Amino acid sequence: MWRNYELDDKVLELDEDMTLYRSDKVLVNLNKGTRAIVVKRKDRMEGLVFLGHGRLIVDTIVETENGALGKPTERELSDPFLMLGPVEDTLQHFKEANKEDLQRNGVKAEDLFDKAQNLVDKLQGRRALCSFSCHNEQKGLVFAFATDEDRLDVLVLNDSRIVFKSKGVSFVSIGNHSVLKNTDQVVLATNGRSVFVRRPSHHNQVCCLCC
Amino acid sequence: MSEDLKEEMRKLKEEMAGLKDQLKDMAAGEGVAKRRGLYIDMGNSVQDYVDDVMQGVAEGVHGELDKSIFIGPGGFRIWRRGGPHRDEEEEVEVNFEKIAKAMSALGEEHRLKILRALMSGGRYINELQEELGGITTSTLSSHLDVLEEVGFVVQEKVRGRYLVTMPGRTAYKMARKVVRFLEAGSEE
Repeated sequence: MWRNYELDDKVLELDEDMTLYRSDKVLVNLNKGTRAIVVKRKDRMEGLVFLGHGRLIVDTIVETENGALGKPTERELSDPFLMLGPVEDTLQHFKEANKEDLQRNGVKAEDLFDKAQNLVDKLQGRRALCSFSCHNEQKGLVFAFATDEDRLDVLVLNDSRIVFKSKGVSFVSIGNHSVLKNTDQVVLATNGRSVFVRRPSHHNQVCCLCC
Repeated sequence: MSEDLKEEMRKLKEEMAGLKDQLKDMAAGEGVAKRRGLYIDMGNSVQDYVDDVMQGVAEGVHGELDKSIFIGPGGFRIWRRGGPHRDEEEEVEVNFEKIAKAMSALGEEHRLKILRALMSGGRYINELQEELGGITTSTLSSHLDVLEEVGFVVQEKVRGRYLVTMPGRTAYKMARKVVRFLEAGSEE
């Protein structure tokens, strides 16, 4: 259960800019100086809470026989976010932050723990993540991004499969199957066929190729 | 709704159900483990979450399909049930500025060639440059910017490929159609 997760007592700091995750459609970058705190469960590392700056890009675009729909989702990551999944490779880019260095930069370790704890608290009761449990062999990742509006955006990555849910955008991509739902439209594309539904308020902008 | 369309809808619903099952596999992990040697157990809660996402999408599709569009292998079909009649559409104010901007984006030979190249699939900028021939990267970039601004082209931000959008494809086809009409008229 999520309530069994706890934060490590060390603050880590990123030595240099790094790419946390990259695939054909998803990119998560972290900037140098980003801090991280390990999330543990029963003394096993289960994930990391990141506090700093970075960038998230998800190409929430669906290609259909009749042209592409949607546009990329880009976001500066300045609020804390969580990554659940294997952390060993990521940790190689981090070193333990020196308390004096933090103080010199006007940062209190306690504040970082408070922010990380707030994010963890936000996850309480979130169905998507509250019973997440990892195994040593797993490759999948779950990201939870805190937003200004006290919401959580969720990104689930497993092999080449993507599920991304944020305010106004739901995107699923599995092989040749894609689904995109945003404020303007719903698109379902599967094996070269597609359904496109535009919201009624925009129907006057629709063109018809066959008439 | 004709029998053909009903059959088409039935198939799409089946495929959507299949997609939903795959997502469940992804969430449950067990099926994935068997097939790919991976193991990720996210528990039933993620499965519920995925179900929520798919449910939302399904509701969006089914709830609005009657007054929207269907794209089959043969092109678009539009249902106007619940939408305005043609007469009402005529009364909608025409945004000449937007139309002029879109038409202006089409009014350049290189940009038409870019759209034609992208009709057969996404391209990286160097591939486009090779295909168009005799165009510098900066000129090509500025043409792509124009096409992107009006929404005829979209760039994937991770891979960098350019894709033609649905309006872009429609605009290119429309331009060709207009020229064909003009050519046919001049022959008479």
